[in-house]
Amino acid sequence: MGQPKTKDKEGKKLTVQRLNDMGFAYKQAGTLIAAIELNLFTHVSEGGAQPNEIANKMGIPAESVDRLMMACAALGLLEKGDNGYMNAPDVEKYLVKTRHTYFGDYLVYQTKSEYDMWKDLASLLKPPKRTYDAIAYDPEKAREFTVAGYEAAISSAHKLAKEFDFSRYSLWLDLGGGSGAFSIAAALRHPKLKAIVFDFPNVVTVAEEFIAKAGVSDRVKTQPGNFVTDEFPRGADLISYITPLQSYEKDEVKFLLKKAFDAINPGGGIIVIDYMLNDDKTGPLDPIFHHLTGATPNHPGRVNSGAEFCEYLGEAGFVDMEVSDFITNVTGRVTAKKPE
Amino acid sequence: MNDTKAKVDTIRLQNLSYGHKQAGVLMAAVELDLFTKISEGASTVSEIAEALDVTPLNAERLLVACMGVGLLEKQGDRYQNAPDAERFLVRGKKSYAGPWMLLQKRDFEKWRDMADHLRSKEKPTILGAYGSYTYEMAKELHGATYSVGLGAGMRFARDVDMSQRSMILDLGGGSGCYCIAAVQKYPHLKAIVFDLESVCRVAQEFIAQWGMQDSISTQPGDFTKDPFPPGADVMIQASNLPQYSPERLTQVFRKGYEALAPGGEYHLVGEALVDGANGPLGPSLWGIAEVIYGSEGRSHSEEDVKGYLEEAGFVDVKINPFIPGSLSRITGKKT
Repeated sequence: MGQPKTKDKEGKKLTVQRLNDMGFAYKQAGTLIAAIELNLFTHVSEGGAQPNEIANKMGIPAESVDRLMMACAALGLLEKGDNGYMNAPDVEKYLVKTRHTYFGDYLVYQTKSEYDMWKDLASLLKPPKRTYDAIAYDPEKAREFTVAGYEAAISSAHKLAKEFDFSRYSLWLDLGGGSGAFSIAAALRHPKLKAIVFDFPNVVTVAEEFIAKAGVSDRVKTQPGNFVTDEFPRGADLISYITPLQSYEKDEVKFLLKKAFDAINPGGGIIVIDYMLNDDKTGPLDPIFHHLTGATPNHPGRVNSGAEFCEYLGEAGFVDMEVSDFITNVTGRVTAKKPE
Repeated sequence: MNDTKAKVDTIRLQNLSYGHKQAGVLMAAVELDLFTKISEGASTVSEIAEALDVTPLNAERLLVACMGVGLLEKQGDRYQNAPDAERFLVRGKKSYAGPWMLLQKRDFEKWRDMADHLRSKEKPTILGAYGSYTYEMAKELHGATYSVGLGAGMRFARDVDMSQRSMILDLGGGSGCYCIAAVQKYPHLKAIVFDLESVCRVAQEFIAQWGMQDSISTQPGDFTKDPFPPGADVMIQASNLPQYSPERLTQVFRKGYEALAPGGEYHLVGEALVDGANGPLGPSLWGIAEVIYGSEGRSHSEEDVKGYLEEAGFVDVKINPFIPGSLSRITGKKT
């Protein structure tokens, strides 16, 4: 890529200024629309050019009018004359109510009627595909989902804490760790274990509350992030995906397992818990149904068999794969190791 | 007005009223990580559609809009980032300012109803909405300001010779970025970030990231009413100018003057209006934004600030070039 460019074509230093102004441009629209709605330009045209006089006519605080006029001047809507402010020529022609060329109501209407949707253009261009995507953007949904997730997971979490030997590990990175239920249960049972719950920012905010309530904040930390796009923290000797993989396609699952492999210490372990089909894919029924919902537009993903998970883990570089039941007829557990 | 009667039309006013669309396009492109993907090599509509995981139709729509606002350039059928987009909007670069851009979404809807805010007769308070900042809000705000603030802080450390100074007090120090940049350049310096308790917690996290806990400490407080710790010979007050009234600023400057060591200097780094220029845009729009936050704040010009500093007792008050179009640095000395 060569040297980073810090100058533009004319050799002027590149600053963030232009982008800043563009990011703030909704304020320009907001200021213009407010001035039209408050009839500012009509009052200026009628000769009340000082903020105090205009404030009296408009019946709003003088300080507010002063701020508004200052902003309008910066936008070039007002110009400073000898007797205070006057309207710029286009403002005088089109935004003074008594003129037949007035089109202020049109500007207000077209701006306000579709204003809000521009804030979330990204989600219009790329509609959320997964429950998880909706959660990433919406704090309220994230809270509902995470609280519900805790209630659903906590007994399974204690089951895993009992069945899996966490004492061999010192730092566990739980990817898509949601409410933190699994880390909390393991930390309560294994007093030396440290854990990091990695999930969307809106989710880990809620997880932190559960972690604090359980009194394990000193050992269970959170890290906000998207496990598909963001870097993983390094240094963990245990890593896991507990039930998020069912929402991803085969290639995505392979990618995520490889990413986990790269992130953990040599000799470290991985736990995958997920809806799991038996190896000849004849059942169980629950995972079969879930697999079918993957065909609907808003729920992509697929359910894998234990053998398939072993294959993907092997491709990623893991060894010593072991498959077992977790919640019988629903989820299975696969563990593996990264070579020393 | 001009004698030569240029034809007046509605284009400029319509374009201004589209401001929310421009901002929306920029934010969507940042959220979808368009600039990163282009920087990594995606350059045709179909490559970009694939990299962004959007339909080719939507990719094309976004690309056309980004061309329209000047975020992209085109050679043949290949898109590339405008130089500033390449520098500031590509994830993974040190200069990446994406979080800062997206922070602007917070107030998006509020500006739609600016007229209602202006009509309000509710009495403003000193800190307005800033006073009730929680840790989470502070973290969101300063996580985002940090990306642009550190650049300004580095500029400050380059411009201001602190080799003979011993202690900085940073009033409303936010993420701590000015102190971090100063200590990086002058490792002998001690510094105190003075800000609300919730903000200090966030600053501590940034300071720890740099391993500067031994040099930079935090002190929770509201600089409009709490006393200042003594002993500083450099005081910085950066990027909070339009949040306050002239009276409040003069009071704070006076308190700063008293707490400064003799021979010390006060640096007001602020979004100030340039006298006679009807702007810049950012500072003038911040003043009106304070209507939304319910504070006493307003925009101030560089000359205004100079006057407040002199009234507070400072001598040798100067307006220095800092970041054109955005920040001015106005300084005063204590004898």
